[in-house]
Amino acid sequence: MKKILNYVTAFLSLIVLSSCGEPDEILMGSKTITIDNAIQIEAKSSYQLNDVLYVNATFSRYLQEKGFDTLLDIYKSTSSDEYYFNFYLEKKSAYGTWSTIDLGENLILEKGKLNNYYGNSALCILDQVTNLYEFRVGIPLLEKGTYRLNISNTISPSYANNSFIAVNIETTIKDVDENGNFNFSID
Amino acid sequence: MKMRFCLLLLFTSLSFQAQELHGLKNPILNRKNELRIDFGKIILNPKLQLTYEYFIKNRLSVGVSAMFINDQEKTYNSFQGERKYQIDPFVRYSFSNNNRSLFYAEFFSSINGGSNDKIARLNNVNYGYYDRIEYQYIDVAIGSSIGYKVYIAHRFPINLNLGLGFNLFNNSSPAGLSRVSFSTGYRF
Repeated sequence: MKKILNYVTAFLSLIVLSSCGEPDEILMGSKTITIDNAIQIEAKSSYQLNDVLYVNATFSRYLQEKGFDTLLDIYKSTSSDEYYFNFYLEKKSAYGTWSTIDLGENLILEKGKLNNYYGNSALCILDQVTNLYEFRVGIPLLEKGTYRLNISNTISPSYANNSFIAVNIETTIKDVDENGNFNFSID
Repeated sequence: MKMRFCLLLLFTSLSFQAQELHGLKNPILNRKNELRIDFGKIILNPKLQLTYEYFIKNRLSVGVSAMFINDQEKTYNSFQGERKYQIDPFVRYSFSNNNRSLFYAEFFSSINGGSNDKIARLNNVNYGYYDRIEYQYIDVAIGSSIGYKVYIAHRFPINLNLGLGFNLFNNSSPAGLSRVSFSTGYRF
């Protein structure tokens, strides 16, 4: 009897375990869409003291989603008219270590909003006329040295109106290295 | 050698006798049926769960639990959707020698139904978007539980069990379902 029970136990365990797995449809959670160059750095070959380094973000509320013929309306999906990404600037010391620069009030905001709960959050705001999410900020270069600007390549909805799905955007950024750093020097 | 053999025989016969006496001394074993109600669910949730259990052998029993959920209450959660009913036939095996206080494991099947929200990609004229859609579902799950039961006065069980199952057939049903109970009843 015990032997039979052992076989039954093993068999049923197998069925239970085999039924575990990813469902076909999305449950509550997130989805990621990949697009090119949603964030752009206005890179120059060299920088002088008091130059301004501009960072832009522009992307449509209608994005191509892999596997579908129609464009995806991310605003209708998420109800969020704000999308954010993080960035921070680091300076190399004479000892070869990197330290984060507190950009404080020095940033020149031209489009979108800024938030600095954790580093600097760039908020791309939806323009209801053009249907574009936009952000543009200038970073004044006030000290000589070697710098790197790290920009997150994931742009996420800020949940201003809360929603049940987060459609995140993953983007390529020109002129950054494999760690997401834009390296430059100020002479 | 002969002495040792005699002692062994004596010990074996005593142990068989003890088992028979065990049945006589332990009236629980003569009562093959048990009805329980889950008072945990009545107190904490607007749910009614009744269980019938039949004892085939000392350690082996089968039964069925039926749970109905008050339609007016929203019990939705992302894991289990909004279940309306759940009927669970089960097979239970006790690991303990003691019939009055025992740990057990069980396998159960579950016929369950209700409504479940899922996110689907919809289309308007020009664009697609994601939205939440409610599905009605009926499905069959299988799973396993562990539990503990103690008897008061050989007749009144206090039963606690905890289990997890997975729906098998319907894509609209929640992936998993729980089988949790804190029940008491009567064995006869």
